[in-house]
Amino acid sequence: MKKSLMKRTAQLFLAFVCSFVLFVFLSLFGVRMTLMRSTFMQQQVNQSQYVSNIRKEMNTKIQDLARGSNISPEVVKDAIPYALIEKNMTQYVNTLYSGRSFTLQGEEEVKKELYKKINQYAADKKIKTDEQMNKGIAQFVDASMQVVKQAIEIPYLANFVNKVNQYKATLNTFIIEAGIAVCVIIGMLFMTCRSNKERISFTSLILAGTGLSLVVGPLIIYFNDWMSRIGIMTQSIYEFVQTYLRTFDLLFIKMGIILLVLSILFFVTFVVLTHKSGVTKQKT
Amino acid sequence: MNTVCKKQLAKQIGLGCLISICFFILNYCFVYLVARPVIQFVSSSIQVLLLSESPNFERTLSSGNIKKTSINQAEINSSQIQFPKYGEHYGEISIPTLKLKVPLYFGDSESILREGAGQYMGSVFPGEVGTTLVGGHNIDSFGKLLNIQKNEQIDIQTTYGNYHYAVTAKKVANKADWQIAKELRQQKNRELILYTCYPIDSLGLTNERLFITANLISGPKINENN
Repeated sequence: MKKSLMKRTAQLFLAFVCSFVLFVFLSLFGVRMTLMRSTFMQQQVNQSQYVSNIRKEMNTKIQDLARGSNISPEVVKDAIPYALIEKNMTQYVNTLYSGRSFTLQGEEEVKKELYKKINQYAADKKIKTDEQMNKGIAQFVDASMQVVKQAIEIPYLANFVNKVNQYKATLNTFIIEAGIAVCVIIGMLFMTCRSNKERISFTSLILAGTGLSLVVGPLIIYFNDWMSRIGIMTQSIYEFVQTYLRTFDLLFIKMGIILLVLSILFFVTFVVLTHKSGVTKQKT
Repeated sequence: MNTVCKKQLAKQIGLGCLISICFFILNYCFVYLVARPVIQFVSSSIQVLLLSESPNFERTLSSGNIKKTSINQAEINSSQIQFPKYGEHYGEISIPTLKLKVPLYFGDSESILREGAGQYMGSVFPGEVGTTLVGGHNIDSFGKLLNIQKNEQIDIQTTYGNYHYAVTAKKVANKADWQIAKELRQQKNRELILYTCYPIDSLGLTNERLFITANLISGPKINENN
């Protein structure tokens, strides 16, 4: 009786250690598959409609510059095409993760288009341009391109990705180690089990423990509403950061739910097997 | 399934749930023990970045008709005045000779200058001792300032009083002109400076500004001590 209790306690302890290591493994895996992948960031850029939001902000800023340059804001309305921002945004995210430097593409075409529009406006208004004025127009065009560049290069993002990438190798090592540990502990636990039924019951417990750990914390964060109170006063960046964090958080909730469903399935199998063995015993 | 089986199943479910919850609690305790410094640092950093409520991006500047006062006292106590907040439309500038009429806002950000004239927040309110600095785009109405003459009248109607100024000087200078900066710091007279980009009919960005300086002729003086 005493021996059986000790064995049971040891098995439960092993199951708990396995649940903890699996929790660590899946958490690290979640981080690896999100924060360290350019595809994840690209998806968040698309999902948060960053390109259309930023286009609106860019054009408003360029129109403000136009007002300060004695140019009607209508002239430079929609000066920056959507395709240009989209192309550069994809390029920027890719360069962030590959460590290359970013150069704005299609800059010359936009500049040319701006000059064309301003010259047309000057001709319509019968304003004669001189060297001094051309210098001022060039300043306006350069300032407009600076607005585009600043909007595409999301503030602090490069710094964040650099920091995250620094830990990539360490994180990979931890993931591999945690994966091996899970396999070893689960192997040890299964060796102590007498039947498959017992193994299934422990698997169900491990999955339930890990699933709950993955679901509860992120769920509290999700409904706590702090993500919507982030102090970012630019709408496009606010939407992007919020979408990024929410998707990151949701990934853990999804993983947890899958584990809980699997745990229930294992438990049902365990119950069915117990019931079957009970019926067989009664028959014999 | 008989009653004994049902009871056994209920017991197994209960026990399974209890053990899973224990695992979950222990997992969190372990994580907290191991990563406590990191968790505390991250949560305190996040608290610094959080606002008390979600930011509102739909906010627009208050525009339209404002309640201008018709009372013309010689002096008002500052405690009686409800001074405008940033971005608030609190007055109107008019120059009858130029047929110029623009709304006056507190603050001179780009979004404010889209709507009308903006008072630099580091300058004093009309009626206070010091210089009131107001800017506007030349493409809108402030371009007309080029034609203003000395001694012409500039009227400012605010929510707390109506002010009349007489133009004393008109000059073109760099936006960082030291003389203008000095005038902005003066604490002797009640002055007004209106400015816009120069050359008025030129296109492109410029560092030159057209400054119109005016002195207060009439309007309630603000007593800052009461």
